[in-house]
Amino acid sequence: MEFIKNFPFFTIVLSLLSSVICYAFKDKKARFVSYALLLISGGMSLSVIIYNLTVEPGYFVYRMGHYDAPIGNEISAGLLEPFFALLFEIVIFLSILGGAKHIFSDIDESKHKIFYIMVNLAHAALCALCYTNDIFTAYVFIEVCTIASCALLMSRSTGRALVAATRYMIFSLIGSGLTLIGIILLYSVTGHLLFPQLYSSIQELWATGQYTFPLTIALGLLVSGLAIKSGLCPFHLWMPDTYGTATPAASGILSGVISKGYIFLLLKVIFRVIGFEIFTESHIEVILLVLGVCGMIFGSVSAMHTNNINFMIAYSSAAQIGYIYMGLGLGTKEALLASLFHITAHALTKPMLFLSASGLSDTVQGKQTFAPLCNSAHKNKVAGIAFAAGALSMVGIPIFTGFIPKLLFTLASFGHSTKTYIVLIALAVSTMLNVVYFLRTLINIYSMRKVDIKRVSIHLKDNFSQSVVLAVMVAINIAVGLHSQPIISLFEKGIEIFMHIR
Amino acid sequence: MDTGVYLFLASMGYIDNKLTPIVPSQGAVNPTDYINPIPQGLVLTGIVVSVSVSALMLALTVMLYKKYRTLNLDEIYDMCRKEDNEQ
Repeated sequence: MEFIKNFPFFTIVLSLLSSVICYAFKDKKARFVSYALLLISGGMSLSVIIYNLTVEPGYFVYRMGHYDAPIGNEISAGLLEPFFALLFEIVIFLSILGGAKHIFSDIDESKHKIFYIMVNLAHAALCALCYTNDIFTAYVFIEVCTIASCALLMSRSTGRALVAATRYMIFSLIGSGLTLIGIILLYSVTGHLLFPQLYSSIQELWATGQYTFPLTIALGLLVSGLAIKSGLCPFHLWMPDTYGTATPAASGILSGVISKGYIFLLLKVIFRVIGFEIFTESHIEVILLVLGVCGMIFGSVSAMHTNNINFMIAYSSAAQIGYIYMGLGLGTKEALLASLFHITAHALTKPMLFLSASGLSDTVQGKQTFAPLCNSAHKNKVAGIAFAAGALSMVGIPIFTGFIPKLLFTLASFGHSTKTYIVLIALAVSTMLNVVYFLRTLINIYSMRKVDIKRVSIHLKDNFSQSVVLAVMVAINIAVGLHSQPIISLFEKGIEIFMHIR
Repeated sequence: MDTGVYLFLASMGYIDNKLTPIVPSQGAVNPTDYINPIPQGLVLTGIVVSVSVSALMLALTVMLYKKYRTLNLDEIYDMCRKEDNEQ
């Protein structure tokens, strides 16, 4: 077996080990362990992608322990798994690097290393969710991810953050509980926990008409549990408080990456456990389509009514999650491709918005409401440009990343009779609403209206790491927007492999 | 909710008239004589996860009380709204 096939396992274990190693470092210095881990893991994920594209095209299955399936555990890596692991690593690295100054100012000095320990733990959980081939292992790492996310929220010990963390935990635990009941029902009907064995059992049972009702209930519970955790409407109410009150790095990680890990696991469950045909026959995709469309509209309407920039970005996240589920609800490969690209676009854009919003707030002593923020983009030029790029990306302006998934969704919507009209109208309405609240904010931050508040100019050297990270994020956003074809080709190959990993 | 789920899972493994899955001193055994041990393993893992989550929620509760001197969520939300208005 080639050494490179160990890399997915190494990314998970290294992340767990580095969480322990972080304890040995003093406070702020623990961040270097996180940086090193993410760079090494990113290199390993990229190597696996190149290996699976060139050396041995396809996928490989890696045995975890001494026993082969179905007795032992295993992980698998095609193209999508290492791609999303790499995406998560890039986003987490840029978020913690760009948000470093706020981490040091928002969080007590005694808790700095705990913050980085939890970042490493969240990274371990996300890698495990990407690579796992076992449904109970997936549940365990869902819980690990929830604990790490809550700790990231709690690290900023303001009252609002604690209330937000409590609300987040309650919603998350409901989602985890439903997922667990679905897993147990699946296990009790099929007797298996590994994806390939579950898939063949479920196909056999469905074809013979046995246990159809319990399987449908189990599928519904799994899908609803993961949908609650990722923030699908109407379960998105925890998002504004959670993303709006955390430190910017934590907001970027939670909105850009953590919710996407659950969605990727849901994709694995739908395509490699239940099977695409059963998923469409059970009509659960219609429910996802309806809830996705509702999320797109209600998330955007809520974003229009809020007066706080961070809350606005958080409600926008709820709307963007709706786009992803709308793609799943269409139930075609083209729509799945659009959803995967939207996950990528959102993961690259949302942390940039949170970091730039924090840069703009810094010019007015941390205030986040719109009135004090007017003219802030002139006081912090880098944050202003990054916010503008993020806003235009979310709206779907060409050359930015956000344009591509909107185009892909539109193309994927054709040929479905009723669904075509629903999706096209939802896309049009949601895009118009995005324009209203994002461009309104953009005009506000660049307007020269005089407000009676003390302002501070922030130059490049005042927050060098944030400025550099924002510049890199804008560059990545534009690069992906202009050169999306390699990623689309990777996703097309990845989807074929993804659906056939057994 | 999790407690009920674990009881349900443990009950899934039970088979009438079968033995507890402990290997006797004489060695190799016939697996069909025993109840299914996997759900018990899953329950143990789940309990560990639940304990961690419970510990985290208790820590949150203590921190909330230190901050607001009450555990009544309505009062806490009122105080949060007042803080937001002052900002």
